Order: sequence, then structure tokens, then C-alpha cells
Amino acid sequence: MKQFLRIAYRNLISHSGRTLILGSAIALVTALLTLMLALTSGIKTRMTENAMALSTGHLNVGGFMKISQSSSAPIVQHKEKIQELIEKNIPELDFIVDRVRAYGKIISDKHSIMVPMNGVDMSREAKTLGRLEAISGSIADLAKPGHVVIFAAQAKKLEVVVGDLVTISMPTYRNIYNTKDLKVAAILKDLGLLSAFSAFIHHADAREVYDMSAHSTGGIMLYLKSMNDVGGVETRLRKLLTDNGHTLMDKESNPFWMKFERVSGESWVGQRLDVTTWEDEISFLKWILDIFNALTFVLTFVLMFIVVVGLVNNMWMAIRERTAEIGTMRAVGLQRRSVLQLFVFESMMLSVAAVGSGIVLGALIVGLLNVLKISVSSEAFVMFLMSNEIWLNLRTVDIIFVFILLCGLLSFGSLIPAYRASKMKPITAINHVN
Amino acid sequence: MKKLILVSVLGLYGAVFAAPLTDKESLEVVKLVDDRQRNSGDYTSLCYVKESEKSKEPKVFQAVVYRRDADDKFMILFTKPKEEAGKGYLKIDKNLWMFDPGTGKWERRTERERIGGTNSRRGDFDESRLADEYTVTFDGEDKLGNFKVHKFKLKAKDGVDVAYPILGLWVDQDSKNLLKREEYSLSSKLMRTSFYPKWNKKYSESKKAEVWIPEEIRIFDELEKGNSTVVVIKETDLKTLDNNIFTKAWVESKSK
Repeated sequence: MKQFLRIAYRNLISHSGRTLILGSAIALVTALLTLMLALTSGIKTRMTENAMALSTGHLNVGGFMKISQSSSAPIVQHKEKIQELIEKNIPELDFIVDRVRAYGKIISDKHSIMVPMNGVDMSREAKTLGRLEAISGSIADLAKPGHVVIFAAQAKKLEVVVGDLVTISMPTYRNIYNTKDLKVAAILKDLGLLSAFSAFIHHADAREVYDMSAHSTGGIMLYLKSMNDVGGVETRLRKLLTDNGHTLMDKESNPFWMKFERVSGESWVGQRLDVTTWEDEISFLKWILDIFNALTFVLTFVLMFIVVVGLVNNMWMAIRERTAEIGTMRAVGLQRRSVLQLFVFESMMLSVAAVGSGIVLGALIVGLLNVLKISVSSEAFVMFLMSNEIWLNLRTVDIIFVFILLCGLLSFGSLIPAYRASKMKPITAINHVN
Repeated sequence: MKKLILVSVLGLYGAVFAAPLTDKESLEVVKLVDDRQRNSGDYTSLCYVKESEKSKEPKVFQAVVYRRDADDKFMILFTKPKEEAGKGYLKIDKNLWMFDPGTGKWERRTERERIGGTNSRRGDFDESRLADEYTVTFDGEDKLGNFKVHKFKLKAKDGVDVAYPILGLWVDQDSKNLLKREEYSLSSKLMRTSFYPKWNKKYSESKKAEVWIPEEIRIFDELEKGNSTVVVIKETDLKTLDNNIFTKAWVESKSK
């Protein structure tokens, strides 16, 4: 085995030009794939972090209140009892916050936008809203009623600055139109598409506009000690609520503001709770990840095809050049299987070195881009990247995936020429003249 | 002495006729406003709705409105433009349903539904029930152009679900036609102002009296200044309609 490895290594070195070109091509493809995976992972991480701050807990207990068949209001009654039930029975819980959920219009002197609004209690939101960065004003002003906090793109559309008055307008849970004038307290940095679907007001203002009691809320957001527990806790939470006399809505992987039409169309009246995970609440953004995953797959497939064809071609050339050598080795007793091993080792050695180099190169580029903190000015890119700057997240699992995938594919591609080489008759091969 | 008596009589006359209406008298006027528009039988009219939003091209819709006031049924069927044709709203009991011919599905909608995406609501086309739904108080005398008007403030009665809980009405003192209507949010912010510059009357066989129909309604969005809706009501017919008109199947058949 050691001998074969040495022969394979020497063969690669003896054709250094060809090895270098092919190795570089493989390394570049590897680096590109590494970058794409780091970019997709970066977007997903940012999306998750942003979602946790803006609109969802790891798990959420929301729901709708219908006073008539044709109404639907995102209200959870007796929030204290439900919170107590959760705190007593979910040991995985880290902390819990509740927000009044509202969906209405923000109207400035010049324009208006429809946006889901969160009525928040700032004294309980340090771990969630604390990480949001304000361009102007202070998010801490939301501790007092009479203020609204919006994102930069929304402020641009409404043509407002900090200190301006806007009107929020939405129907109460009894379908009566209501309004409230609020002052813009802060304008936050955009966080991609997700921030277009969030604005923040004081919980008392939201309750006033919705005409709801202090014992009702819009949604209870559960933050667990570990995100890995989400699946198990969701099942238990559903059972816990049902066992305690609450009626649950059918599972639908959508945020609350996409359920109004469906709930309005259902004939039940009263209160129903809705248990959702963070993934359900940002499901409307899944298409962005799907696009990047599809792009990564297509790009990888095309480049891999080219590289594998290059590798196979390279091996054919090597076999052709070394036909007489193969014949001599076979004549002195080398088995067919060993010839196959020899060529596969050569290919594996090249793959491991090139893919390894590519991963190192990709990791260096990822590190460099993260250090440079390149800001993105295009609104379209901000929307897709979920951040104002390029941020990539290279995970160990992605590195292992890239290494195994590329080395495996390249080694598999070398099997055909290696097999053909092993099938050569010694007498024919030894007499082969280049 | 005679001069003093004449001045006193004129003063008394003026005081009587400029005196504010009592709550009961105000309610009677508003009941009259409702009653003049009410038709105990069926009602059909062709409506044109022009929606103007700032920085957007105005959109014009054509729709046919069907009403059966006796059992509180109501329907709007859009006929133009092509992309809206076939869309229908049907009110059965207390439920408002919308039919989308694109998907072929019915969806239940709320009272606050913007009809066809315009700033008009179901109530703009439906029978007037102001006296039933609101408590009326007198808010003074006023002048709208050349018209002398009574002003009324209306507040929604407890337990009645209306889109706008506070209304302001300007009613022509002579004709008792509604000329202006302001709609306020729960926080008393003015949201819409509507003007009723033209009224038509038509004899109703079922009512055995004349029914007053607004020929034009101009609705101005007071929150988003610059947005307005004009509803023009033409070709009103008070003949009895077929029994099967107020059904989902009929709307679907017209949408094909």
C-alpha cells in the first residue's frame, strides 16, 4: 500500500504541469462551493437571529379570537394563566415574552404602508430587541407610550425622520376602525426582507388601538435554552394546552398575519390558540434560502461535471503515456486489482490535496470578507442577505460535507479509466509505443 | 307699543325656528333620512366606481348592485374592467362573502372589506340603517353651499358592529337629503368624508312611495390625503328580482 502511494505521488510530481492545472481547477471549484455554502449558512443564521429579535420566539403561542364568524383578531386571552402553565411545565424554557400583535397601516403625511406591528414591553425585551441597531433616535424611547420604531426602508417609503408624527390605523377586534397618532422614536438599520414585516409600538398603545384588556396579548414567545429542543417541546406544549382545556388551531406553517383571511373564512367563534415554531413564522422567507440552495446545487453540478471530465481525461492521458509501464508492472507480477488501486490512489491523492487546498482558500476568503465587513448598499442585496454587510458563516459540517462530496466524486470518476488500465493485457501493453 | 310687540313676536319666531332640535327630533330626522332611501322590495342599480390614489393612475370599475331589503340580502357583481369582471360580493344573513373567479372560491369577508380594493365599503351601497345602529344627537345648524343643513353627531349603539363608531351628518333642512357624512375612528379621528351632491327619486311599487337614491357619492380619505373614490349610481330599477339571484350559484354562473 505504502509503495502504491509512493508511486502515485511520484507520478503526480513527474507530471507537475498537468497536476497543477487540474489541481488548481479542483481547488477553485472547492473554494467556490465553500463560499456558496458559507453565504447560504450566513443568510440562514442572520435570518434566524433577526427573526428571534423581530417576530418570533423559538416557539410561539398565538391564536385568534373571533367574536363573529366573519371576524378574526390575533388575540390570546388570559395570558397570565397560559404563561404560568408554560413556566411550570416546560423546564427547557429560558425566558418568555409576550407581544401584542397588530396588523395595520402606518400613515405619514405623504405615504402609507401596511405592516405587522408588535406591541412590546421594553422592560422584558432586552435580550431580543437589544441587539437591533438604530440609525437615528433611540429604541429605548419605546419604554414610554406614544412612540413607534420603524426600519430604514419603511422610513424612506413614508418619508419620515425621528420626531415626526405618524398615524397608525387598524380595526379593533370588533372590526371597528381605530387610530392613534405616534411619534417616530427611532429608525433602525434594515435587516433584509424580514424587517419590512416588522415595526414596534408600546404594548399599551397596541392594546388601546385594538381595544383589548391588559390580560390579553397577541402572542407568547418562548425562548428555550437550546434550539434543538424545539421539536420535542412543541409536541408537549400542544398536549399541555389541549389537556388544560384550550382549543388549538390546525397547524399551518405561516406567520400570524398570513392567517387572517383563512381564520376569517372559518365558521367557528371564540378563542383558539395557535402553536408555531420560529421556522413557521419565517416560512414566507424560505424561498430565499431555496434560491441560494438551488444556485449552489446547479453551480456545483456544472463545475463538478467539468472537473470530473477534466480528471478522467487527465487519467486517460496518463494511462496512454504509461501503457508500456503498466505492461511491465503486470509482466513482473502486479495484479489487475493493484493496477486499479494505483490509479485510484493517484486520483485520490490529487483530490485530497486539491480539495483540501480549496477549502483552505475558501476559508481564507470567508475570513477576509468577514474582517473587511463589506457593506451592501443595494436594497435588493440587503433584502436577500438579511444584513447590511456581507457576512458568511463557514460551519465545520459544511467543510466535512464539501470534502467528502468532492473527494468521493473525483475518486469515483477515476474508477473507469483505472478499471480500463487494469484490464490491459501485459503483452499488448508492454509492446505499446507512444 | 305695536313696534315692541312685533319685535317680540319676530324674536320669539326666530328663537323657535333656530332652536336646537331635541334628541327625539334629531332621531326623527335621521329616521326620515333612512326611510326615504329604504325600499321594502328589491333594488338593482348599475354603479361606476372611480378610485383615485395619489401617484397612481385612477381605476374605474363597473358593477351591478342587487338588494332585497325585506330580508337584508345584498350583492355586488363586478362587470368591468376585464380583470375584475366576475368578482362578486354576497351578503347572506350577517356574513359577507366574496367570490374570486380567478380561483373559483368563496371567502368570508369582514364589514371593513374595501369593496373591489377601493375605498368604498359595503355600507356605501347598502340600505341606510343609521337610526337603528347609532344614537343621534343634534350638533347645530350649518350651511353647505346654498343649502341650510342640520348637523348631527351619531355614536354607535352598544353591541352594534359598525366600521365607523362615530359619524357626523349634514342633512338638508328642506329636502331632508343627506348631503355630507363624516366618519370617525374609535379615537375620534376623522377617517372619511363623503359628499352626496345629487339625489334621484323613483316610485316604488312595493313601498307605495318614492325612494330616494344618491346618484353620486364622493368619498375622500382623510388619513391618506389625496385618495378619493367616486361612486356613480345609474339605471336604478326597483322591480322584483328572481328568488335565485341571492345565491352563490347565481354569482358563479354570472362569472363564467
